[in-house]
Amino acid sequence: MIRYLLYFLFIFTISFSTLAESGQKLVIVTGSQSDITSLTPKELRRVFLGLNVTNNNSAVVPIRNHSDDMLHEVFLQKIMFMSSRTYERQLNLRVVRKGLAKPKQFSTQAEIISALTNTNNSISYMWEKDAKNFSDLRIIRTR
Amino acid sequence: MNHRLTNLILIILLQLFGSCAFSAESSSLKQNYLFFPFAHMEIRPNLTDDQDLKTFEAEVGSDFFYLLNYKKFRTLAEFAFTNEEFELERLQFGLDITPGNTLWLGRFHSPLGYWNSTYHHGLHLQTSVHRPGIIEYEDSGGILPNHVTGMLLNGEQYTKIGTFKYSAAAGYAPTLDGTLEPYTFGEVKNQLLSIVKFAYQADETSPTESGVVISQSIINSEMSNIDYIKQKIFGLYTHQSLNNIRLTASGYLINNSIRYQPGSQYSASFIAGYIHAEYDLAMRTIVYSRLERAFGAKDDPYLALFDHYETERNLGGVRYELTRRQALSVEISQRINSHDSHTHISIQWSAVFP
Repeated sequence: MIRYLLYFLFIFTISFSTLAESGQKLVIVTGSQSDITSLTPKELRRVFLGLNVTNNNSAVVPIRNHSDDMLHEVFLQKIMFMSSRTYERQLNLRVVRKGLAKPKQFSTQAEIISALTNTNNSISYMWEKDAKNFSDLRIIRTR
Repeated sequence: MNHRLTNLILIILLQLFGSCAFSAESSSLKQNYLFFPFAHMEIRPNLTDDQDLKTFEAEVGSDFFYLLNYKKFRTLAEFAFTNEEFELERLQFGLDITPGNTLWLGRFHSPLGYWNSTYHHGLHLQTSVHRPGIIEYEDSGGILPNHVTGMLLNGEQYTKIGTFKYSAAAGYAPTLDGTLEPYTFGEVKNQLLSIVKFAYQADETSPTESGVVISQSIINSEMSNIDYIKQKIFGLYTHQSLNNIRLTASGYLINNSIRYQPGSQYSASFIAGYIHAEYDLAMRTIVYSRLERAFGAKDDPYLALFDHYETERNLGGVRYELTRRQALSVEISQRINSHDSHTHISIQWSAVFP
């Protein structure tokens, strides 16, 4: 029994190391021209809930990345600390309660990069290995 | 003007406005459409002497939201369609005066506490099938003004110890004619309503919130023996969310001064409230229960004007999330009104798209 448990732990550890080594880290990115330097975990959570967070007196604009289901799941776990259902519910409640639109979402990386480079003070999230491939982007936080 | 025709014209205007807005899409313009379709069955197996209620009822419909944010301007429209009615529920035009403070004009939900400010006609966002009786909508036999046409100022102030929120509204109150009838465009006979709400939220990213509501309104009457009713409301509420448990409690002290023809007046008060609890059993299943009570309501002359107001309701239910956007709920309740006591079983499918 203990031997099987040790096998399981070994495989579990190897799997996670492999995931980490393959660059599957979530990063928060902004456009290279943006003057956002950093945001705290709480500020990030506020931004992606559609709440007002400012940088140099202008609102930080969240852009949701729906190009990869796994990426979105990791974002919900590591940034928002909530399930997909709870997150969508919170956003929908803001629409019906306060008349505030949901943060924009895009389903391709090209659209996300275009939005980040064309929208002042915008932020989004992606895998670190992808973010490093684009000179138009700057990483402001790694999770 | 015909009520339905007015609604139809408003929808067409909004669609045109939306189309123009789409063609001018920019980073400062945001639009959201939300559909909340639902279907539910109501079964009342042991009805006794209440001839107005049916043993079986079924309803299908959808709530439709349109939202437009453009720079400092906001537009919000809500329409409810069912197999029985087609209604404009909200039409609000807002201006962000300062960040976090918005002035709205139009028809909106009165900020009567947590439930009425948070939920709406679409049903999917609230866990239970039914709203608490005390804040039931007017056309479903509600006794408080839920829809106001006028001006609403909403705001919030962030501090180190939490967020303080306020809502202040003034506008037209409903008319009483067997049921409360909210103001509809074109009529000018209704009297004024004013309401303020103050709330505190320790962490703005959490739904936990507590607050107080004060309201005063003059409700005109179409009934032959009543001129008008002066209604005062004082309410307290709290919504607590901790991991997989949510608790909402609300209590209202309601005073009504009824002005009878030809000039006599009678004043009486009662207290009504509810405690609603929810527990996330597993990833997709929520169990919930609610107790609703009214005190001093037995011989209240204002409540006597409403046929089906329930002074007591014990309710329990299960909601199963079929998918991320669809849910199936089964709810059973024991209800006591001035006519009888009966069991009420509800089965509901609800959804939100996109």
